[in-house]
Amino acid sequence: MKLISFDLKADFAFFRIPDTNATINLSYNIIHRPAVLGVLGAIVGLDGYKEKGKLPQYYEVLEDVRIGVEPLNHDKGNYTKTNIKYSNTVGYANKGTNFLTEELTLVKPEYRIYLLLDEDNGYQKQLLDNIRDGCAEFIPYLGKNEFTAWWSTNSYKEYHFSDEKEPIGSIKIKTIFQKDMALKNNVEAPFPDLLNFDNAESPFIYFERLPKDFDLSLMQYDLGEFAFSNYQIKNAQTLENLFFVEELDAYVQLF
Amino acid sequence: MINELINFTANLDEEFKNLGSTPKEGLHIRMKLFISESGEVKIDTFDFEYEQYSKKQKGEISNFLIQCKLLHQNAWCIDTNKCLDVPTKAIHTCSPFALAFKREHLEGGTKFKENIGKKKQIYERFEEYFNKAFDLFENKEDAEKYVIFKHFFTQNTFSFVLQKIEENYKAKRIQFEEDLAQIKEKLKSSTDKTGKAELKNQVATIEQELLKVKPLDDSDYILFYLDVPLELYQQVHKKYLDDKLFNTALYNTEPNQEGVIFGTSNFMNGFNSNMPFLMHQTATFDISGRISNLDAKLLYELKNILPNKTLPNPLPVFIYKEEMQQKVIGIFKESGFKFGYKEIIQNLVEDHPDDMGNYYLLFWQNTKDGIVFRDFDFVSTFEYLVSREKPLVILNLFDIKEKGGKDNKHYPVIHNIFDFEQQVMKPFIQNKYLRVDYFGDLNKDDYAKLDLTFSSFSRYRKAIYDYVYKSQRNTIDGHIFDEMVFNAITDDIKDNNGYSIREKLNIWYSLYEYFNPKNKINMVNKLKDYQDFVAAIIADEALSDITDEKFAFAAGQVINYIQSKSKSADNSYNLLEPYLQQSKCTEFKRAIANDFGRYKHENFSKNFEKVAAFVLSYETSANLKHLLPQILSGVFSKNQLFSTNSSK
Repeated sequence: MKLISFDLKADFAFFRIPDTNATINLSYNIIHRPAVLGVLGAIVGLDGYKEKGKLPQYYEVLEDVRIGVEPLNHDKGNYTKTNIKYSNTVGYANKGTNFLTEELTLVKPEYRIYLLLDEDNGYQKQLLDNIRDGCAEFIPYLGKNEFTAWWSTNSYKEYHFSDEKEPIGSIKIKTIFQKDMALKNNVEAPFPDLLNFDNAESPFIYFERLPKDFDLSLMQYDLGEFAFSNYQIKNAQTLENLFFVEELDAYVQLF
Repeated sequence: MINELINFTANLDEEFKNLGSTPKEGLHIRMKLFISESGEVKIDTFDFEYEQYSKKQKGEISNFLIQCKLLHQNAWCIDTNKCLDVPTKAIHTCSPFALAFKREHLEGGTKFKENIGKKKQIYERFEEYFNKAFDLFENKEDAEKYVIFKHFFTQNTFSFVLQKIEENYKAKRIQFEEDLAQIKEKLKSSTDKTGKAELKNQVATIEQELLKVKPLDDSDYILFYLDVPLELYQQVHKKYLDDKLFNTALYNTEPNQEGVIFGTSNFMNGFNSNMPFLMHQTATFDISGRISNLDAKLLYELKNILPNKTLPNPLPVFIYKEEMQQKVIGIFKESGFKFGYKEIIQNLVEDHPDDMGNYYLLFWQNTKDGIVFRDFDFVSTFEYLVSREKPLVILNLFDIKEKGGKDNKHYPVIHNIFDFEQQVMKPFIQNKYLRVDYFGDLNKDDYAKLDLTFSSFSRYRKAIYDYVYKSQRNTIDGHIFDEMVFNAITDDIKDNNGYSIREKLNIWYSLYEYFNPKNKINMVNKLKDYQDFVAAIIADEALSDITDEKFAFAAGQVINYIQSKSKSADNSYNLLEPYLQQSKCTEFKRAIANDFGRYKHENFSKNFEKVAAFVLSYETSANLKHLLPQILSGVFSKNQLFSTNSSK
């Protein structure tokens, strides 16, 4: 198994939150696992959605890949958003009525994507080679196909890691991490060590409810509570899927 | 998003949810059932209660109207697309116990006239309405019990009731109008102040009474209620909501063991089936998500709470701190629903400095199309103070006086982000009424003669909102700040507003370092350097460290001096335009030389001659448009070129 990372970025991104579509449409702020899988599928050259009731090829092939996401160039976990207004007046698209919509779009998002890849698996080997060489079979994009995504080969990194090192005391987690319990006021739950944060920036904890996978029975996003912080985290032993990365002297959560 | 709003609404108490709501405008009539001597159940058309409500009415709302409000709230349709009277959508109740429509649908109303020969009139649709409403009874036999209420409409008895009310109101109206005319007559002839005040009070009272008996407008509702317990209204309304709270019943799941159904949300969400362009043609799924009927109910409640104006706007929705949420609502309630985000945050920061974060900030507007969300974003940490180290200070570097006074202007120290918004950001994007609308439609009319300010406003209003209200400190950088400042200054030049230009230069020099933390350039010192440099030229000292910026400042001083020699009636700053348009040094110097030639017959100070000689001999390949700040600083700072014993 190989732990790698690459820095995926775009001028804009829009990861639609499917809650609302009248008036404003909102985007998740951090790229989520189903969206990353789509990008990886494009890099390898796997098929997307083809027909109703059938899962796309990329999902079936890459479903087991462990993924971690570290937001880069963010502001306390947040990306700037701009409201883009669209109007579609062509009749064939809207049964004769004008369609007006607004999308609160992320500006210059950038994410470090950590992947745990099995080189013995043909597709995963291909994925690793393509990422390292900076090539993609299809054009990857962040949420919408007008927001082309790219990464530079310089951003490709390989790491030494261990999944056996039990977190003791306060630890640094570089990626977003899934938390099922409250971060504060619960001594057993992982919670921020308020005395420990990276002095270079203001201390923060960012929370977001993000899709972690698909709920295959309802065929909709399966959501999880995620957090991202520059604080060190106490009681992290309750968090699952933490991997210690030697080069970073920190943990990443791969889910 | 939806989960946060569901949790938020679930934590509101029931009393609060109804606070601020008012009865529908129009005529409320409550009909009673009685059993006749022959044992028949009938509607009492002689003994019934009624009252008219208008939003213009002042004072307390009567108990009867409060009860009516509760009844229609528990009988109203979710939206007109989901009413029982489709496709005409004129009857807006959805209950076998109530029926409401607007006056315009009755004989003589505009809709009635429009419908003639085209659509069925409302009188012909009551039957259909009640057939659908009776389906809401759990027990089908109940329909028989209340069929008399249906007959009240289908047999047009209700018109008789309306006629009686109108006759009664008309009599009262005539009496009030006569009284009003008499009092107004007295008012005209009265000279006594106290007497006049008393009469005015009487006029106001009668006008209020008149509102209660005025003829109904076309847009007023006529609401009939059957006098049965509220619980019955609630029971049938629940049945209606369970069916209709989802966008479509097509994708509803079977009720689970607790009876919970999952379906497509109707909250700010349209179903895309009539927009094939929006339907994913090849995806595995047909719809992208479902919510439970319990959540749908909470969202429906929230949609009804927002127009009551009992929640602040923007609204912080705390995700892990219920107590903070209660405090926000408490503070807003105590203020009589007057406080804004700023005042609420200021109150909270004092007591809970460490808890100001981890909330979603929702900006919503009540528009003619209903509630519209404009922004919804997460705030991890709200930074109330502008700087952790020290407050910001704007220095009066360009020697401006207090408005209307003789003392030098003194700027208040900027401690918090709201002072920062008011003193630093607002002057660069505000309209001619000195207002900033962060989310409204862009309206150029409000920015007459402020073309470039309008450009800054259009481009950066969201960035400023994010900066101030969500503590997103990377939305405005040095470049954006420069652009906003010099856009506003260019407008001021056109408007010949020297005071405002100097004010903006004060802000620019004082806060340059704040917006360019990586440059480590102290612009205040730079301005001093420029002035020392000009002084050194005048004093014939050896010049060292000559830079393009210093040249530009000196050139600004020269331009200002030359223009002071103009005897023309037009002394406006528009005369600066030819200089500010130049990008090449040679062209720029030629413009100076041309103007100098125009006034060469005037007397010039020695100081001017020395500095002008330096400026006209300096060479640079830099684009002079990039040196605009220094040129303007030279023009608007105290001119050092006048000889010390002469005013010119």
